[in-house]
Amino acid sequence: MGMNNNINQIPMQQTYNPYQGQPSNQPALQPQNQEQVQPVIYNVPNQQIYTNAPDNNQGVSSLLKNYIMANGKQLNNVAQVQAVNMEANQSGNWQNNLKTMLRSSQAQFMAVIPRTMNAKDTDGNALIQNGEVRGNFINAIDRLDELKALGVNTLHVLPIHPPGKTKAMGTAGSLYAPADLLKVDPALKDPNTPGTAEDHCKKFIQECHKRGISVMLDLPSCASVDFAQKHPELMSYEKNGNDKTPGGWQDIRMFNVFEDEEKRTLNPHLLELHKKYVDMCQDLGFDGIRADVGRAKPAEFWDIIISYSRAKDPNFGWLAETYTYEDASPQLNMPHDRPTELLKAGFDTYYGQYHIIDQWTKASQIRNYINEQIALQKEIPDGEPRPPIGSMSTHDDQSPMLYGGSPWVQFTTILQSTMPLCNPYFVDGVQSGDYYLYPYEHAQAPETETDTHECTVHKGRIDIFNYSRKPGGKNPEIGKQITNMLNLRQGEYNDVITKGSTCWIKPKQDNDEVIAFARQYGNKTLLVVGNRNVNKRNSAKLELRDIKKDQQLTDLTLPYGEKSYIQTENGELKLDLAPSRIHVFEINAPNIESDAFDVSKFVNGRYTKVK
Amino acid sequence: MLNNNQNNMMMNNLSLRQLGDREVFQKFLAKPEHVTKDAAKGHLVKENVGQQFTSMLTDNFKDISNLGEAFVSGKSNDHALGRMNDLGMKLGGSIIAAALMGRKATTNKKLMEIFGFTTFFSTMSLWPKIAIDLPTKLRFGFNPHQKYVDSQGRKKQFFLDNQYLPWDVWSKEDINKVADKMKVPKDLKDREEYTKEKMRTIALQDNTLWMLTAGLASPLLTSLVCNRIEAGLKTPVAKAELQQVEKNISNIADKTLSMSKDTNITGKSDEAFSAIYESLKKGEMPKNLEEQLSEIFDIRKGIQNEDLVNRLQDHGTGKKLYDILFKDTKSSLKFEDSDLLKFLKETDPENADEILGILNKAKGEVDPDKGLKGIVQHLEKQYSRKGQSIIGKGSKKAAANGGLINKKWVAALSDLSQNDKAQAKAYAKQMSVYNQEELAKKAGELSSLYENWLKPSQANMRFLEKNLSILNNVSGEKYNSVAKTFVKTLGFTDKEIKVLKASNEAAGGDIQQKLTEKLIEVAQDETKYNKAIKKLDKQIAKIDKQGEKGLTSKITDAFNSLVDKVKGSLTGTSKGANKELQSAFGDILTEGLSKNDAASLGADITSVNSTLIRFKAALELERDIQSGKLITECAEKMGLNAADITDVQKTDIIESLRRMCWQSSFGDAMNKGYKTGNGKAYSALIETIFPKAAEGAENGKSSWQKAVNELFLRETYIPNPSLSKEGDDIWNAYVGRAWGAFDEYNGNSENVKKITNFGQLPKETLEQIQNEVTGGKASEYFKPSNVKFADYGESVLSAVKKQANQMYNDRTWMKVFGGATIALVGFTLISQLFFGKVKDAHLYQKKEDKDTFESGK
Repeated sequence: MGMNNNINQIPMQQTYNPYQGQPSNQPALQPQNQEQVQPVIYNVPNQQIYTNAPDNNQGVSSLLKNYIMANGKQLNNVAQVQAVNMEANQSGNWQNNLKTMLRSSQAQFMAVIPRTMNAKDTDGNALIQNGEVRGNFINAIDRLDELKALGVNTLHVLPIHPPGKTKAMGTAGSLYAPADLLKVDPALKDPNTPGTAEDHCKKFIQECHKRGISVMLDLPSCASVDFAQKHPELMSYEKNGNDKTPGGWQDIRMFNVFEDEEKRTLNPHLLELHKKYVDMCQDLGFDGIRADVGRAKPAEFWDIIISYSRAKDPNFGWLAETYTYEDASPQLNMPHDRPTELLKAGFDTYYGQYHIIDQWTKASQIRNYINEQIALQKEIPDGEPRPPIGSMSTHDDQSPMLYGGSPWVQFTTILQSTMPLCNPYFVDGVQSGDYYLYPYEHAQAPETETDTHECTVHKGRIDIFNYSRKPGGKNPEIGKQITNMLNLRQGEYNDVITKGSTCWIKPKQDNDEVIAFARQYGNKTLLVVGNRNVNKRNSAKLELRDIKKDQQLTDLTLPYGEKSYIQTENGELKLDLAPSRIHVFEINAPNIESDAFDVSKFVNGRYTKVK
Repeated sequence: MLNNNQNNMMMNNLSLRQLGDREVFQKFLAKPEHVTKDAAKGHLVKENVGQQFTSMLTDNFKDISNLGEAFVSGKSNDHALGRMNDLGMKLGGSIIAAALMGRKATTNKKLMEIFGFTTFFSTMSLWPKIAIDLPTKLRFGFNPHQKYVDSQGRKKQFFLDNQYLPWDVWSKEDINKVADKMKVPKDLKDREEYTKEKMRTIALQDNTLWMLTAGLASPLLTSLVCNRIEAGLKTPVAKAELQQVEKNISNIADKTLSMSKDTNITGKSDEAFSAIYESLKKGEMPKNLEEQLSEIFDIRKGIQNEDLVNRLQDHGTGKKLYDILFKDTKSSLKFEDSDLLKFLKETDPENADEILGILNKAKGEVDPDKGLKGIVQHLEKQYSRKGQSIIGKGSKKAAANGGLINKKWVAALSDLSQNDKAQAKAYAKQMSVYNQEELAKKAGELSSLYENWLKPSQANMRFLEKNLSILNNVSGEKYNSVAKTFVKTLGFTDKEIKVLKASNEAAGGDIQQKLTEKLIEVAQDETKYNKAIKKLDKQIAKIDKQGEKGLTSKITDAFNSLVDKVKGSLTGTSKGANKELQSAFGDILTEGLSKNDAASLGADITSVNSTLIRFKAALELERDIQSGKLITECAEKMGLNAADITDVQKTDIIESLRRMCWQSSFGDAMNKGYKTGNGKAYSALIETIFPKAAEGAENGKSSWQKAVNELFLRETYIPNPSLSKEGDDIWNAYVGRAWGAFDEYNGNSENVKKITNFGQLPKETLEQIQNEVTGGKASEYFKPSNVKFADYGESVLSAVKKQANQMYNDRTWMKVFGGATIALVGFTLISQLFFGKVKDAHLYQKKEDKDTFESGK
C-alpha cells in the first residue's frame, strides 16, 4: 500500500492543534488514483485494532490492550506529571456534578444557540444582516440571569464550530455541518471584546458556572463537506467512492466508525478525533456533551470516549440523542437506534419519545411510555437510573406553539416538571411562545457566508441555518409558568418529584383524556390532574379516600387558559377540566397507593413498578 | 481574566492530557468488560411445513381477533391493518364463493365455486413459493420471502421494504452459509457486506418479478388447475349424486308410504277437495269450507228439511201467537186483547202491556197481506226497544225464548200460511246447520293430513324430480367421453379438427367426406380397425360395468315404481280409507310427475349407448364395404354373382347404407320415409337400385327384397326395436288393425263425430290394438318419441361434428392458456438466471495478503 503504518507517525502524541496535527500525515492519506477525495483502504497494524473481542491470554479486552499498545508508548515518560485544573481556578470553586444531576433527574435544560441567542434584530426582518449585532458568547452572557431565573440549571449549547461552506444549508451554514470539530466558530467572538472565540467561550461558561448553570456542548454526528474533503481517513464512502450522506441532509458527510465492521474494529482516527474533542470540551470548561444522533456511532465507540472523558472528569455528563428501539433504520446510511446499548455505554440521559407527545392523545399512552422507561432502567447493569429528558420541545421538532399554543406549552411544562424519571428540557424561545416562523424562509439573501444565498428554514423549527433573530415570542406567561414549575421542582418538592412514588389514578367513568397521578415522598403528596385534550373540556371523578368535603385545594400551577372547576366531596374529587389545563395540588393522602391502579416506587436508587 | 494565549494553553495541556490519557487506560484496565451492541430483539422465523401450517392458522386467527377488536374499540395499527387486507380478501372471497354457490344448480358447479376460490388463493400463495422462492433458495441459499418477528412481536417479511432491513436478526453463520451457497469468494474483505447486498438485490429482483408475474400467474394457473379439477370431479360427483338420488328415492318412498298406511280418513274426492287443497297450497282459508267439507265427508245438516217444517208447525209459541194474532182471518191482524195479554204475560211479563199497546197500534198500519212477516217488519221499523223485545232482542226472557216472534220461523210460518211449500223448504234449508263438531273434527284431520303428510311428501317428490335431472349430467358427461373416444380413434389431426369445426354440416361437403375418408382409412387397416373396435367395446362395457346404465335404469325404475306406489298403494290401504280420497292424494303427490319424464331422463344414457353402438356399426359397415364382403354377400343373397352388380349399383348400395347407418338422424328416420322402420325404405332403395327387384315385388314378396332387407338391416343396425324387422312387422300389423278399427268407428252410428285417420281413435282402442299385436309388449315397440330418439342414438355425423367443435375449442383454450402459462414459467425461471448481479461488485476488495498483514509491515 505504500501507506506508512508506523504508529509514531499518527499524530497521537501531539496535543490538539487543529492546524498542525493533520498536515504531517496528509500525504500518506491522499488517495493514490484520484486527485482529491476518494476512499482510502487502510492496512492497519494489528496493534491498532480497536475491538472488544476478548483476549484470552491477557484476561482483558484486546481493545484496551490494543489501545494501550497504540498509545501507551508516548505516555510512559510523563508518568510523574500531576494534573492541574486550570479551568477550576478560573471559574471559582465550580464543581462539575452534571453526571449526577442528569442521572438523578435534577437537570433542568434549556437548549441555546450562541449565534442567535442574543442577536439584535433592529430592522425586524428576523435576519441579522447589514451590521446588525449577531449573537455571540459575550452578549449571550446578558441572558444568563434570565435563564437562571427561569429555573434552568443546565444549558444544551448547540454546536459552536465553524460551519462548512460547501453545499451548505442556509446563509450561515448548518450548526451540524462543522468545518472543524476542534475549533470554536470565530463568528461567536464578540468583536468588541479582546480574546479569541475560545476565550469568549470560556468566559461564557465561567459566567454560567457562576450562576450555578452547567453547560453541555453539542457534538455533531457528522461533518461538513469541507471537513470531509480535508479528512478522508475519517470519512465513510459508498462502494463507488461517493461520500456517504445521511438521508435528508445533503450538507453533511458521515464518519467512518469502523475499520472493520465485521470484527467491529473501530476507526482509530475517528476515536482520536473524538478524544481530542473531549479534550477540547474539557479545556473550554464544558461539563458535558450532548451526542447528536447517538446511533451514528456504535456502543463500543461511546464506551471508550465516555470512559475517557470520565477518567479525567468523573462527573462529565453525557446526553444521547437516541429515541426508541428500531429493528432497522428508516434513514439511509444511518444505523438503527438502540437507546439501551447507548445507555449501557455510559450516557446519563437520552431524548426518548416525548417529542411525539402531540401524537399521544390518551393519558394511557403517556403512562405506558413512562412505564416503558421505568422498565428500561432494569437493563442498565450499573444499577443507576437513566432518566430521559422531557423532550417535549427540541430544535428538531416543530414549536409546540403550533400544536396547542400557550396553554399546550404550559401543559407540557407542568407535566414534565412533575413526571417521574425526567430532566425537564426546553428550547430557547419556548419560554415566551416562539412559533419559529421566519419571514425569510427560503428567500434569497444578498449576503451569505456559504455557497448558497437561500435562507434554508425548517418550518416551525428554531433556525440553525442562518444568522437569525433572538428566539422569543409573545407569550411571557409561559416563562412565568416555567419559572414557577422549575423553582417548585428544585425547591420544596424536589424529593417528591425526583424520588417520589408515582401513583396513577383511574378516573371514574374511565376517561382516557384525563391524566391523573400522584407523586408521594414521605408525608408529602402532589396530585396532578390534567386534560390532555387541547380543544375540549373533560370531566371525571377521582375516588380518593383521603379527600374531605371541606378540604381546601391550592393549585401550585399558575392559572392559564380557561378555568377548570374542581369540587371536593368526602372520598372523591370531581373535575371539570379546561382544555390543555393541568393542575398540581398538595394533598394529604396516606392511602394514595391503594387508591391507585398503577404504582412505581423509587427503590434502591431507581424506579421500579410495584403495581 | 481570559487566558487568550493559545500557545500557552496548548503547551500546558500537553502534559496534562498525556497524564489524562494514562489514567484513562488504567481505568480501562480496571473495567471487567466492555459494552458492545445489544442483541436484536427480533428473530428470524425458521419453521418446518407443519409449523408453517400452524402459524398460518394462528396468524389468521390473530387477524380475525384484531379485526374484531378494531370493530369494537376502533383501535388498530398499521401492521394489523395491513394484514386485514389479506383477511378481507379471504373473507370476501369466501362470501362471494358462497353466494355464487347458492346460484349454481349442480353439485359440480357448486363445488367448482369453492375449488375456484381456494385454488385462486392457493396459486396466489404458491406461485411465488414455487416459481421464485424455491429457485432462489436452491441457487442462492436463502428465501426472499423469509419472515422475521420484529421487536414488537409482529411477523413480517424480512425483505418487504428494501430500504428497511433489520440485518441483525441474521446470525453470522446464516449469512456465511448463504455466502457459501452463492460462492462468494472466501477471501473477499467485505464478504458479509457483499453477501447482504447480493441478498438485498436478489430479493428486490425477486419481489419485482413476483409483482410482474403474479397478476398473470394466479388467473392462468387457477384456470388450468380448475379445468383439470372440473374434469376430474365430473365422474365421481355424478356417481355420488346418482347414489344419493337412489337413496333419496328409497327413503322418500319408505316415508311416504309408511305415512300413507297410518292415514285413516274417509271421504270422497271431488271438486270440493281440490278446491280446499288449492286454497291450502296458497295458504288461504278455503271459501265455503263448511259446505265443501260436508261434501267431502258427507256430513249431514243437523236438521232435516222435513223435520223443520213439522217442528215449525208444532212450535208452541209461534203457533199460539199466530192463532191469537190472526184469530179469524189469515190475512189481517185481528186479535182479542185479553187473549194476547194472557199470552204475553206468560212469555214477556215485563213488557206485556206495552207490547199489547204496540200491537194494537199496529193493527191498522200493518199490511194485512204480509201476515206475521208484515208485523215484524212494521215493528222493526216503528218501535225500537219494545219492537226488539218482540222480535227477540229485548227483555231477557224474550231473548232467552228467541223472542216472541222469531224472525226466521215467523217468515217461514208466514210463507207456510200461504201454502208455498217450495219457499218453506228453502227457508228451512237456510235455517238448518251442519254438525259443527263433526265438521271441526274432519277439518282437523284433513289439516293434519295436509300439514304432516301431504305437504312434506309432495316436497319430497318435487325434490326427487329435481334430483332426477342429475341423470342428464351423467349421460351428458358420458356422451362427451364416448364421442371423444370415437373421434380420437379415427385419428383426426388438429388440422383436420379445425377443418371439421369450420365446415358446415348442413352443406354436406367437408365433414361427410372427411369422416368417410377416416372410416375407410381405419377399415382398410386391420390393426387400426381392431384397435378401434376394441376401444369402442371397452366403452360399451364401461357404461354397463361402471354402472351408469344400471344405476340409471335402477333409478328410473325406482322412481316410476314410487309414482305407482304412491298412487296405487293409497287406494289399497287396509284401514278402510276411502278409495276416492286416497287416489286424490296420490294424484296430488305425483302431480306433474310422469313416468315418461323419468323414462326420458333415463333414456339419455340409452342414447349414449345407442350412439356408441352406431359408432361401432359405422366402422363395421365400412369394414364390410372395404373387404368386399358386403357386395359379395349382397350378390349372394340376391342369387347373383358379385360381378353382376354394376359399379353404379355398388356405389348406390354403399352410399345408401352409409347414409342410413351413420349419417341419418332420428329426424331423418321419422321424416324421410323411415317411419315404418328400415325395411320399407330399404325395399324402396333396392327397387331403385335393382329394377329386377321391383319386378319381383309385384308378386307380393320378392325373395330379393327379403334377402337384401335382412342384409341391410344387419349392416345398418340401429339399436331401436321399433326400427327392427320385427318392429316393422309389428307396425304393419298394427296399422292394418288400426285401419280396421277406424272403419268400425266411423261405421258406428253412435259416433256422431267422424274421424279422418286412425290416430284419432280413442286412446284405449289404440292401446288395446298395440297390446294385441305385440303380445302384451306394447311398451317395447310403441314408445314415446323421446325414448325412440334415445334408442336411435345420435347420427355419427352430427356427433363427430359436435365433438370436433368441442375438441377444437378445448384445444384452442389449452393452447392459449397452457402456452401462456409455459411462457410465464419460462420467463420467470429464465429471468432469474440474470439475478444477483451486485452494483459495483468490483469495488468489493479482496483481502490483503495474509503474510503481509500478520508481519505488520
